[in-house]
Amino acid sequence: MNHPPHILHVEDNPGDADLVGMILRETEAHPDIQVVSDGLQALAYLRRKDGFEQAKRPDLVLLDLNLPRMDGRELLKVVKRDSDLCRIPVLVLTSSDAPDDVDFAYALHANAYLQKPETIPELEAMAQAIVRFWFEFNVSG
Amino acid sequence: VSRARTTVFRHLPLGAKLLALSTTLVIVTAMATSIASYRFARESLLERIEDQLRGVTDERRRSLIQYLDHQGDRIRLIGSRTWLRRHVATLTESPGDQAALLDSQTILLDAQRSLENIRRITIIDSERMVLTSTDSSQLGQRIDLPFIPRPDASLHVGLPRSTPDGYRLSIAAPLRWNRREIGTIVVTVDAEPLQELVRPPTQASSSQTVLGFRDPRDSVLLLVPRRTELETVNIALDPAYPISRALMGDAGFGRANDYRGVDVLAAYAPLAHGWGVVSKIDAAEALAPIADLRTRLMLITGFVTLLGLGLAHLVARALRRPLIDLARTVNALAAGGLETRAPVRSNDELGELAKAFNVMAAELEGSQRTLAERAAALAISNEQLRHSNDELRRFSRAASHDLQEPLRMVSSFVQLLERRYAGKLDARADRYIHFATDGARRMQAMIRGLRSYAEADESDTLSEVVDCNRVVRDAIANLQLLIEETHAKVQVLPLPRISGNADQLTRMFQNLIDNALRYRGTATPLIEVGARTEGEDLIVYVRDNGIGIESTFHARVFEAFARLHNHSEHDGSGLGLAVVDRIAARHGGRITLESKPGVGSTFSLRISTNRVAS
Repeated sequence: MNHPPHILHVEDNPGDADLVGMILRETEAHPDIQVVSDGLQALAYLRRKDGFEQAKRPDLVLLDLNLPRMDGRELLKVVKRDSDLCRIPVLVLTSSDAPDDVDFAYALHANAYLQKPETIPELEAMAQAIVRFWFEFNVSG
Repeated sequence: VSRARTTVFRHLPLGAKLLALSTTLVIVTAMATSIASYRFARESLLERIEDQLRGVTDERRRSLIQYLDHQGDRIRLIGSRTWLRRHVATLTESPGDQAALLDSQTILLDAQRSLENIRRITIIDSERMVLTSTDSSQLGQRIDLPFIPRPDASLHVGLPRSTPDGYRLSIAAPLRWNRREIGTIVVTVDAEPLQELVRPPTQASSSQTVLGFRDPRDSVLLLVPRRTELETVNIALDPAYPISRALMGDAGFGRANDYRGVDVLAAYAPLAHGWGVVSKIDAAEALAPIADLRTRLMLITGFVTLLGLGLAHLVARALRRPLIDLARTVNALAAGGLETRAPVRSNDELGELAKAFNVMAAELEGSQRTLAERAAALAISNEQLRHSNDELRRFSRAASHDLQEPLRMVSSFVQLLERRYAGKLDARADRYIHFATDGARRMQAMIRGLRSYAEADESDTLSEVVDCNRVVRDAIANLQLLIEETHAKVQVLPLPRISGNADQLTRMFQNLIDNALRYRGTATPLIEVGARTEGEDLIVYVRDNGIGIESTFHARVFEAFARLHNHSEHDGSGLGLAVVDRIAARHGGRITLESKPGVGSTFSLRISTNRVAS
């Protein structure tokens, strides 16, 4: 991989966005992370519309479920039904561990379901795992 | 048969029983009364008829005897004439003596003229040759005696006989001269007086008096009065006929068939000279009032029976209706119609019963209503309780979840601060950051506890078969880090399989073992998990050699956030034992605690042995 991987992080909580972004950027892959705070913005970004005409196609989407305007579930549904966008891996990253949410996400073809860790070491471990799995071992199309 | 009949009677409805009973009573009474009065009436009627007939018979008999005596007197009066006797004596010795004949005829004609109803006077000798007569044509002839001569009799009475001029009767008496019987005076008289004597008092009645005469051939000649004359009838001397009995010398009264073959009531009596008299009346006529009475009595009996039936029916209905009403009310009440009341139709015992029943029904309804009100109130407070419980559970779940999010932020960034800036600020800042991370960490533990406490109440299934050995093993595995840290020894004795929820029981044992590890003493922690039965209870215990708990705090340890220790000393969510208590309660059991400070604690789950799974 010549250029750093591009990650779209859909997260309405700026703290979480900062924290996750910071820990991910500290990994070996040094990904390029774009944060949007709701589903509509994310969709605009992915389709390069409404001010995101210059957006890059992300290699990975990190998606929170509880979002304003269009929530994560709705966005997941739209993305996975889109014949083009459906190829982008979407990792659900949320604080909820409710079985209903997990089942729902996988039913909409989420590529993974991750619960937000509570401690920094755990978060670092998760970030390492994401980067290694998706950008080192995974062969993307 | 009688048992079967009794059973049948028992199965009859009440009305039919009453009807049967009263009908029997009424019919029996009416019939008995009717028969008794019929008999009494019949007896007294028969007595009266007997008296009457006997009276008539006696009277007629007396009249007839008087009549016959009178005839005898008349004959004797004729025979007492001296010249007549002298002429007859002469004629017996010399039958051709014309002077004696003429003289005697003159005397006889004179006698005939002076006496009434005498048709002819003839004097015959012992050879029945006519010596002299008022009827000259008879002179010198031998005549038939119209009677049976009896040697000692002073008077002979012949049989009445019919002639073209009417009935004639011959009466004869011996004629004596100088103590010697010289002939017999035969007087032929009109029988008209006899007719008068036996004439029936009224024509309409069948009652009549009949004279009978025994003739030489031992048959009976009856003299029967007709409307204006007499009639003679010959019958046999059969004792079945009342007249025959009279002619045989008996007097009496009886019921028999007369010469016509008609059923009669008859009084009979003998007369002198072979005569008998019978007064009789047709039984049909005599007993007509009785027959009438019988018909009336039968009608009355029928009427009384019908009346009795009607009354019995009314009484039965009057008795049955309240009973049926009551039965219907009882059924309605039993079916839940508590407002149903029995109608009170009378002031008698049945009315009292209905009233008493209504009082009972009212009380039943009242208590039922009170009960229903209480149940409703209970249901309402139950519902309120469930509602507030749900509310509380929702709140604790939402609170634990929603608190977790900002806390994660606080915790994460304080941790970040600690990692990135430790040693770069002053020592006081480091201390502050440490307090903040510690506080955040403990708060996270508490919120986790709160979540599990809330989850302990979720409606998970409680009926799966749980192997306690496995559950305890899982709990120990979850605590592996802490066990290694504290060098604790955990011994698990064989445990039973119980029905319950595996996740909740895992959490329970985990919390208990965690508790034992947390509140360890200075010695190496020794924890034993085991089970035993005590009567109806199964006990699964977790025993430690920890610091123990003062008995004054035993009750408080199961309360939420009831911390007995300074948090710097012993760390925990403050909800561990509250969750244990909750899970035990959810399994229908309870948690007990035995503890001595400095020696150790034993927490025991007591549940019913019914929960032990095979």
